[in-house]
Amino acid sequence: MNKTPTLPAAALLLAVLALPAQAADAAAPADAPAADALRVVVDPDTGKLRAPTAAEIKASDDRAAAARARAAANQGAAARAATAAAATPLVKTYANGARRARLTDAFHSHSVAVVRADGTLDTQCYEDHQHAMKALEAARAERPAANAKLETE
Amino acid sequence: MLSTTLHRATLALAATLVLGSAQAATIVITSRDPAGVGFNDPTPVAPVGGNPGTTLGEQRMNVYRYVADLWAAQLQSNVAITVSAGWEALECDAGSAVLGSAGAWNVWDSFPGAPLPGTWYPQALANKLSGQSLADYYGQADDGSGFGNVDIKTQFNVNLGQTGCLEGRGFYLGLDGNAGTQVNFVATLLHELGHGLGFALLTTSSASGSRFLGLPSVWEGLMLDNSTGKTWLQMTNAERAASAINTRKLAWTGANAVAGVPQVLGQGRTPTLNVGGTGAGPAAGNKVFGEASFGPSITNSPVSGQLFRLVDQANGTGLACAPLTPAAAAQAQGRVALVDRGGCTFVIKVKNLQDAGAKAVLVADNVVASISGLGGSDPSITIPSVRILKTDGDAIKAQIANRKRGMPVPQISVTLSAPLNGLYAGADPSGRPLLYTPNPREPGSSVSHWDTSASPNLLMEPFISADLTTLLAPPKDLTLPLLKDLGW
Repeated sequence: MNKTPTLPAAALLLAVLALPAQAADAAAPADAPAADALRVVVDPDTGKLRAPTAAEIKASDDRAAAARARAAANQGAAARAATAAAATPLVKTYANGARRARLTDAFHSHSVAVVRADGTLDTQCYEDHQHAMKALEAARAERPAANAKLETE
Repeated sequence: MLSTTLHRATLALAATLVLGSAQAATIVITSRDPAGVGFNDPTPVAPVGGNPGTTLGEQRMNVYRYVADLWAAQLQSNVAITVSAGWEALECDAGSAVLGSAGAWNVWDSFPGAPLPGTWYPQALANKLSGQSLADYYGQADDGSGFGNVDIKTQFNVNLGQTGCLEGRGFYLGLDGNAGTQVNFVATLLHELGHGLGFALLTTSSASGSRFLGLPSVWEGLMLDNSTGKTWLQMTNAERAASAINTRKLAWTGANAVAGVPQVLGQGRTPTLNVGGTGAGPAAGNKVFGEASFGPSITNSPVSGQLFRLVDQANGTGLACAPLTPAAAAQAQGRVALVDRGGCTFVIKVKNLQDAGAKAVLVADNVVASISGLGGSDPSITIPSVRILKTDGDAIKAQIANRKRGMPVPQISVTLSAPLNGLYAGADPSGRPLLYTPNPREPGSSVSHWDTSASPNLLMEPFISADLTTLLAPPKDLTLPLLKDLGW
């Protein structure tokens, strides 16, 4: 049976061996079974295992790459934050007196969202990274920044 | 005849050049994302709210393109505006998250064509005013990052909505504003790109008043503290810092924004609490009060009625920390209740009185202090409530206690209303739009926003409201007029 894979079918793609992905044959039709003996999919119509199509292999590889990249991005967040905090603007003066400054993320406004006690979402724009972090700390301490100055009893 | 023809040709050429210099802007978006991430995320998604993308990455880019086109249609520049965009793992947890950040990445001073020398301009505006890419003009090489020379740098949270990062509250990528309980990415990006284009104090700190390398930003000459009569350009660092918390006294004087005020802002109202009635005696008059952070605002829900003072404690106070007795509830029905602060949270008091049938609540402070609001949150509260000074509460109680033997209970009425004040909502008495200057200074508050008293809500207020449109100019918004005041 040849059938263009649906999204659920792609989601059922199973890698039975965690080996580097084999490059799919670019010339093969998208819905043709690919010569990838290391992977099988559960066919959404029959419920049986079969070889994945080239399109299914590509979708699986793309998702795996996305997951790896997301994990790498997560690991790098703290390092990036430290770098941003340490960075300083780069200033250059030109012959005719013009000056250019390349700023840093510290100068950027930050939007922060906080879920309030009643379940609603507050979204507020802060003037820099430092103050955005303070807003997050206030939220974690169950002191919504927007109401921090108001007593509740 | 020849001369006339030449003159006409010259005029036509001049017109062409003028048109050429005033052409609609082009905004170029460049992704920093690696394969499989952010704009390249291949996760299949269903089209949503007019966004036809079929992968998460496509939908994200579609929103960027949509928002960039909204801006480009309103701006004129013969130099392409460049935006570096990335999706990164920004700080977040289950209940809070950094959605994203944006701003001008390069700023210029004393460039060819600069209207004000010795003043910082965001690069996109500087390029427009100069009529050329300044980075190209000066042969400025990229710094190796690939985005060193861009006008605006943006980054948004790639994990938003996933487990541990505001789960279920991800970015709504539809273009129709129907974000529901999700974060409206169109509105968020529209706001943040506005900062990057120049809606920002830019290089001067509103907290300290200090300036980057001692130079003012292009904003400062248009920021007028109407209580001192000084612009930020004329102030010391300390004066600027003080002006940043001079509540509702800092006005924007740019002609375009001022001209837009009558078209955009509604008539202002001043919430008022009046105590009256034949039994009010010396307690009568307008009272200072603080509004609640829960329940309807007085502006939206004016109310008046006879006062009912609850007494449910042996010491003669009324706390309303428990449901009212049937007898007390009968008296509270349809009246404005006066209770005392203390014993439980404000929302508990107000909810108990609402359940008893009260139409509004005055909470009298139990200490002598300056006026403040009522904090807390309870979406089930539907009646207005306010805090009044202890001295005013005591005066009302004294009138009630002053009942003469054999005479009826003194009739005291309360009116909570919001009459027109002759001003535009969000503007000063001279009709100039106000910048955001809360006092005490809220964490991270910034004068780079319109004041929250603006009504209807504006795109560049610090809080991103659910009722915003994507219109940037009058009669809906003052964002574009402010940018034009800067030179856009």
